[in-house]
Amino acid sequence: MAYYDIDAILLDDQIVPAHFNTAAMDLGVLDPSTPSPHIDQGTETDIPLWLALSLAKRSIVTLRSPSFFGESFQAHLLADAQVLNIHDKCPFFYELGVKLAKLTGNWALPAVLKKAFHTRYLRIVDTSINLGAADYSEHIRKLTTAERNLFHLGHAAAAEVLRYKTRDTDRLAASAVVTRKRRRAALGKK
Amino acid sequence: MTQPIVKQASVLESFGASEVEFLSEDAEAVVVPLFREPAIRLLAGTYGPFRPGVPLTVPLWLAKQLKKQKKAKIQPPEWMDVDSLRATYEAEQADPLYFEALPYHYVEIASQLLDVASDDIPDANSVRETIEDIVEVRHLKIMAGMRALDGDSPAIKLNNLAAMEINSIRSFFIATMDHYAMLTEPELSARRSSTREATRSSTTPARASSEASSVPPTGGLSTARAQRKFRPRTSSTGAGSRASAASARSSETPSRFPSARPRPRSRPRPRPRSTSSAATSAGSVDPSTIWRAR
Repeated sequence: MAYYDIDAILLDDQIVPAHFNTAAMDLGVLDPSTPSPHIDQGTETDIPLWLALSLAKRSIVTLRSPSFFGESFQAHLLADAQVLNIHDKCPFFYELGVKLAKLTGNWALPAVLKKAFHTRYLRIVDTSINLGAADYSEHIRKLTTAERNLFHLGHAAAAEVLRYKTRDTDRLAASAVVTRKRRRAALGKK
Repeated sequence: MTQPIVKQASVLESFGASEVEFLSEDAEAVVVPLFREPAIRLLAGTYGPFRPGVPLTVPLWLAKQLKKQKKAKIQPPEWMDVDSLRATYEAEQADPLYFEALPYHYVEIASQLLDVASDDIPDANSVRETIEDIVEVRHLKIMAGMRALDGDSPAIKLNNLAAMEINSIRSFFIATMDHYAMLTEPELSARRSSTREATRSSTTPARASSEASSVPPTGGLSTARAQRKFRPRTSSTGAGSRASAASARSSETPSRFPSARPRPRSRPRPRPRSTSSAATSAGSVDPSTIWRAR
């Protein structure tokens, strides 16, 4: 994963519930529910993953499982993962799950995630290849970021195959960059 | 900690269909020249001499060029004959798991020849149709192969895939494999570290088997023997034997992630003889236990 990978940065920005083992001076901003400028020992609050990982290493906080990695949601995942809107729970559902599982040693969670992903992946294979030029926004609404990217890869590949079949690829066309530039220049003149 | 997030392929990361077609232009094609010319020497090779009516083998790019200039006729390859194509199609339909051996660039070669030299190909429309059918049948098989990807198997076998077919699934396939690898990585590292531990301090077989029976099958190595050998951690903290020993000592350790299945209470494990690298063996450290162990 590249350092400047925007998805990796966004993953680190996901919030996870944490339990403060120690009191924290001047960190009241982290807990919107407290009027005090400090955080008391035993406070439960949501903090971003990058901070949580760092604080957990120093035993300042203990990570709690987000609700969507809880037993009931795992049961939902195993029952029928295809219909669940995982993107609403967390756009980086799988990545976050694996990261937290690594930290807490919960090896059962990635196995459940893998099973859930497999069910959803079958759907992605079908839709991305076969949708063609149809509107796919409804199909990708429930997918996580990784799944959406997967969908787009399959969709683009299918479109390319179709383009080749009609030998559309022979025709030279201006790059999107050039057309954008021209349009911008035309707008500037006005 | 590397963790690939599926990315959209940029222009540089995957070939377009026209690039694959460009690669296919090095394939051999037989032309019958309509002109006389001594051999042409180029860096890539010597082509010719050209004599009217005498067939000779040249690269496809040259054949296309000669055909476009009406200086040669192209002899279609044997496999592009309607009858052999129909036979291939039958065979292709017969076996859902096996791909017929066709030239690596058959899609592109057929497409180009049908585009440039359709008047040289007998029954060109039937050829076009049959090739389309073959591509379609193979596509269905490829899709079936893609569905077989479940993360437990490290690979799927798709022999005799053609260049264009590989290219059409490459980015999607790799991204999927990466995502599965990300999801299976903790499981594998847990297994790896538990084997290391097993070799370091030989555990009593009685305890190992009792734990193996409580472990849900995690895929891949699902036999009881394999589980005994690659025993995944089952304790709620489980970041290392040192961690679980510590959690056994201090029972107030909050169990963080509730697992999907109810687990039997893990027995306190004896401290292994060497604990130097045990805590970091799983690649992660349970912070609270370290803090307590200090």
